[in-house]
Amino acid sequence: MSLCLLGLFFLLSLVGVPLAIALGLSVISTLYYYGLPLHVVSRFMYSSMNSFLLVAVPLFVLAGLIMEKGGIASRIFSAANSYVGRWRGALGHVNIIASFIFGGISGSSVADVGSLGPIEIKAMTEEGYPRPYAAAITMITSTLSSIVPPSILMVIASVVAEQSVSACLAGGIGPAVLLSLLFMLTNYVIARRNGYGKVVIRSYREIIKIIFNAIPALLSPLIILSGIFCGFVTPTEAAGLAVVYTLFLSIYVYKGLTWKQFPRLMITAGVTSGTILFIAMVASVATYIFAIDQLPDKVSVFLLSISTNSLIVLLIMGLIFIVIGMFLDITAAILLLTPVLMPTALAVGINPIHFVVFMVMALSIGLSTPPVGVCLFATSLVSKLKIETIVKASWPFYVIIAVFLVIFAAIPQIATFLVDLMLY
Amino acid sequence: MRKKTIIWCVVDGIIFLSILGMLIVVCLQVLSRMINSSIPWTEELTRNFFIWTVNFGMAVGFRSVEHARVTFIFDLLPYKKFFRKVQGFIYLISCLAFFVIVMYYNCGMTHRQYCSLESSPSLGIPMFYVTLPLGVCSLLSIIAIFQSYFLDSNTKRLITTDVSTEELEENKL
Repeated sequence: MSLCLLGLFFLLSLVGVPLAIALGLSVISTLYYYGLPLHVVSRFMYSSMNSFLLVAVPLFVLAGLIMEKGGIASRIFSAANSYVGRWRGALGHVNIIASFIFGGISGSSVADVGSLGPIEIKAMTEEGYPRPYAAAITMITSTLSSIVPPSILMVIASVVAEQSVSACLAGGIGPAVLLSLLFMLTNYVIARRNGYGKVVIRSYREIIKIIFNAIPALLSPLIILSGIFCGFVTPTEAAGLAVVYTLFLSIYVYKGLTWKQFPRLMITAGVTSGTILFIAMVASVATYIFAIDQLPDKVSVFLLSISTNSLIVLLIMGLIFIVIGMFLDITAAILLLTPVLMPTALAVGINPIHFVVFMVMALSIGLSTPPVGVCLFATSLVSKLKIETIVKASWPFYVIIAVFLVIFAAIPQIATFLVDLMLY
Repeated sequence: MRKKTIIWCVVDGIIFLSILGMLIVVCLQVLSRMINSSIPWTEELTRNFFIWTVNFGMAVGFRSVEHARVTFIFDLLPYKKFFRKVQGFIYLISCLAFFVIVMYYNCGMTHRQYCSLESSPSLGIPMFYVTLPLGVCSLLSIIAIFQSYFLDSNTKRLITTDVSTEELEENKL
């Protein structure tokens, strides 16, 4: 039953049917073929959205849009630039740090490319970096937003996996920090070997002035994350506060946005959330079919027949995530794979938070790979470069992510140590 | 995209009000807790606003052809009008078939809820207000698909991917 559903889904997806519709039609055909009631489609589609946690999605999308249009992104870039400008490959490091901080407010990779991308690529090419390299590092670092809290994908994954949203968000911090450091090291080596960029040493007075100007923007992730992790607010409430804070900054402090533009951003956030979560609505019915068919048990038996070692199982899953992530929208992949693979992960003793963070990270590689990587397309647009040129320039970073995934699979503490700290 | 018709202006208005409602109620929830006077209905009202937002957002997504799909197979094929037509036809039929079925079963569910006088736990509003958006937005999606395919040449080009990657992404962003 599940194979019939998945086969039909991939067939319909390949002929250009929107992913949610492809999944919906596959579900309906499977239910009809096996004589199951069709009214469950409507019931599950409704009930899957009846969740307070998912309310965080449109609100974080809105916060990201406000940052994008309100001039917050450029302040973050200037602040990062003033501090690390003295290092070799400075603007590459700035790119990584700015994406990390931006991800800490918006939680969206495409918003990162859309808002920081033009500033970063322009600044880097002006300082002598090759345009493909500037585009590659912009694209790769944007995927950090998928794991840096408050990642929208992490919120969705934790809801589907029935894990604490706060714990999963906290679990993303360790891998995000380590991956950023690895990116910076790679950038340093590449920049030093090829003589990219200039070393700009600013006076302390200048640095203090730029950072002072960016303090309100830099405070946003601190306010959002400390609110969630200290238990003052739920992730959904934090998303609401993020909107209010970024709106206040954009309109009254940085004056990059007006009240007149705000309704348009709200509508855009609604439409973006609708398109993201429509897949979630339909996937809930697919999950029902997987449960009837006992697919998670079958997959579990298959994977455990290969190995019962948790590292091997997680690495096999990682391979599945990377391949699926290359061809499928990440939200759809999370919604389909979590209920199928999570029981196996638990059966071999993988920490659920480790599994969720690992899955989101492995799938987010697909954001920057052909044929369906949205960050790749967005970078191609903002850099005016061909997709194949960007992919060619990105390969050292793809290797770094792959190596880091293996390390992360072997050391769950990278994700869980902060969660443990939160609990005790 | 062509100039918006009145339906889509109304839909935009509903999305705007729903998100505004969500934002106000979430902030109210935080404030009320800070003064030790939690309001019991905030979470339910937020969820209701959210359901309306997502459903209407989904319908608008079809009007502007923003839903994620895989088109690289057709992109690999040699450029021929025939392939574009086939692609557009598959999109049209599949989307219409799905929404007609969803709308049919949602009408049944909403009707049963209407007759059973089921109401929500904290606000006490009839439950069919919460299940209704899926049916309404399925109908809106059908209208959106027709408009984007038959009445708007720009969105039809997006459906049949008869447009360069740069243009396509510019539209998406």
